[in-house]
Amino acid sequence: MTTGERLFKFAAVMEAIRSLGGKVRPFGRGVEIGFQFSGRNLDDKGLAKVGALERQVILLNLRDTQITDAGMPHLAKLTQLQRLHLERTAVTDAGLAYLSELKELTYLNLYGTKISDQGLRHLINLRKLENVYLWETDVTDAGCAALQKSLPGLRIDRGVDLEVIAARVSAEKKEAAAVKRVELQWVPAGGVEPPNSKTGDFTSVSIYNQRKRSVKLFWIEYGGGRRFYAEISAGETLLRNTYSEATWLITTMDEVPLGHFIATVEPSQITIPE
Amino acid sequence: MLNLQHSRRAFLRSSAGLAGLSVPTFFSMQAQAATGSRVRAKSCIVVYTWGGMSHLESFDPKPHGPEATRGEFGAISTATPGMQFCEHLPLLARHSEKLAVVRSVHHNQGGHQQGMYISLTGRAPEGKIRAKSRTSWPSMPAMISRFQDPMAGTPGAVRLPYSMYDNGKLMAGEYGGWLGEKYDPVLMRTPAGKPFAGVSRYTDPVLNLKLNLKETRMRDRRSLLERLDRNLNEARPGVTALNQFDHFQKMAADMLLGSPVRAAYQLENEDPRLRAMYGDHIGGQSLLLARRLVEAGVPVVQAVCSAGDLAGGGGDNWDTHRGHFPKMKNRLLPLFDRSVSALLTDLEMRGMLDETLVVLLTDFGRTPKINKNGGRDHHPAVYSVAFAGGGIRGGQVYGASDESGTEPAELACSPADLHATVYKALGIDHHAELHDREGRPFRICDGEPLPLI
Repeated sequence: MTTGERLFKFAAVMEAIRSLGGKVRPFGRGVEIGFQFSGRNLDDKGLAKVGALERQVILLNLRDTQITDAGMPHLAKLTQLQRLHLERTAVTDAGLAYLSELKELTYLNLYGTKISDQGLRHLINLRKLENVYLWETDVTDAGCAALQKSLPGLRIDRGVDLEVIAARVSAEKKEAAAVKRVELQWVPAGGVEPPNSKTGDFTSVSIYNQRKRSVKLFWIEYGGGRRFYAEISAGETLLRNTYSEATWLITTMDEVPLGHFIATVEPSQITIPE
Repeated sequence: MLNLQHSRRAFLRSSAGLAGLSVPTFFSMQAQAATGSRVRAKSCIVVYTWGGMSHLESFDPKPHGPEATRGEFGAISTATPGMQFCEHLPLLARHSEKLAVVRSVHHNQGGHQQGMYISLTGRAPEGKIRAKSRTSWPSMPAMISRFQDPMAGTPGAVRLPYSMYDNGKLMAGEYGGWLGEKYDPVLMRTPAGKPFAGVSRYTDPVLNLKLNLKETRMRDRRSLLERLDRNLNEARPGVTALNQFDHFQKMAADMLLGSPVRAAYQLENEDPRLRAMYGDHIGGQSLLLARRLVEAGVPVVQAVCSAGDLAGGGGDNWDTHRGHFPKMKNRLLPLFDRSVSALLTDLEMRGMLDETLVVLLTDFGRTPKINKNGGRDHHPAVYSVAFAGGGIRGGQVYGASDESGTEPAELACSPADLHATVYKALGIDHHAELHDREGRPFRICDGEPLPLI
């Protein structure tokens, strides 16, 4: 083939890859190809186009594409491949057999696949492999230990255990619910005028509206004006940040005062009576 | 007969399909790339702590500083020997091997508007600045998006979940500036999480992809756009997508007609346990959405980790002039610690961290001197930022402040240097020259990259 013909062939393959939604960039002495954004419909047949580039492909991202084990033989030809993304595809253990001769691989992403310990065995001769991602797969501790033994320098990332996270979050919620709140004093309208707010420390107040109707919540400004903050529906509990020494006024929806309360340093609660 | 000569020329000129590159250009780029071929960051997430995050109560604690300025908190060891964080960042401390902390950033802009402007644009404001002015300097996300080529239906840059305001005034600095409105990052409403306490405003066109349209109706572009108009801008009736936001409108329609971005917006499709890892708060859920948008092909996402309006320091923002210590301890640091740690964990276990640059930015630091209201005031003379992922070498501290955290003691650097660092990580020439809409040339950045990569 002349240089011109090689160029022509290269351009034709590139055009095919682009029409499949692949994005190509130069990388090192070859190319980087990504299908993970607009090429998610890529299937095994389309993968043949990538296979045709052989030693040219250095990085390949197939995340979220439709490829299966049937397309994996095409990858076996990419002998210069350094980074391969197969996460969230239908590839299984059988497909990984075609990676066993990709000796330049440093990065292999398999999270969210059905890979198990069987599949990891195909990786034991990839001496340059630095990172493998196995979160949400079927691999076990034993399988990972075996791989680690073959490739001591390999970093195996198995991600977080979501069950542990769920347990921690629910424990925190229980703890938060157990916050002791001091009961504030409700001062009905008509007696003492609500005093101006003073500056204090950051804290919170839980306001429960026991009335059958909505009310309005106003903050009494340092200078004495009213500043509207929220409406609280009948039966609603509103958790509000406040500074201690802040005065809060509750009115009807027509802004007729019902009463006020003053926040304390400790987290507090108040009930707006019927 | 097929005229091979002709079609080959046509191929060379028009196709090649390399994001619009011709084959000859492709090969010349390839020749240059052969000299340096590191994996570079492909996307960027900017976490912005609006109001000015105290360096002393985050990445530059001074447990042995002068008593008058030391503050109430202690310091904790991190996973990196010799690197200490504030004691209220226990989760981030475990991620220190991913973080490059810069403790010697400084500038001379003491106001929020000016400090935010120089932090996000890398340029000191010149004259009177105005939100969305086309003479303003583009924000870092806007500038990054200028060098990317996202597919149809994918914005070049997204902002979450609010615009920045100070006492009701919309701030300049987070827009496309002289790049033009096409490069204004798109504001999206994060569709989940408890809001930040305090005041946040939506007076900008804000994209809410939860339109609950039936698929059949979705295919009709016209009815979609009408629907979009009604949803686009609840706060400013009269300004419609149809008459005003041409580029925005087209992109929004593409998104709604089914792109990975629309799917990314559906946070309910994420595992609830993973959502819980980010915290049940709009700050955490915004970072989760940021990760999902990056996965969907959005090159850069900015998330404000704060209430949108500083409103005199009330509410959950970082402008802690009053009650600094309880507010930091109870409200701000736990949220920041949890959500940023979750983002780093998540990016890492998905194998995305080395191609995703995470940048933690703020307006400025806080004064070492504690004021009479138990607060710390604005302090641009020295403060801290941090980077992770995207080829950044973690587990390192660059530069230092003096013993009280008042001034840089070593390796002082500027916001422009931070920008140059970001551009370098993303493979963008930080000295690239662009032209504004009048054709005037500008070099995109005046700084030099810090040796963090």
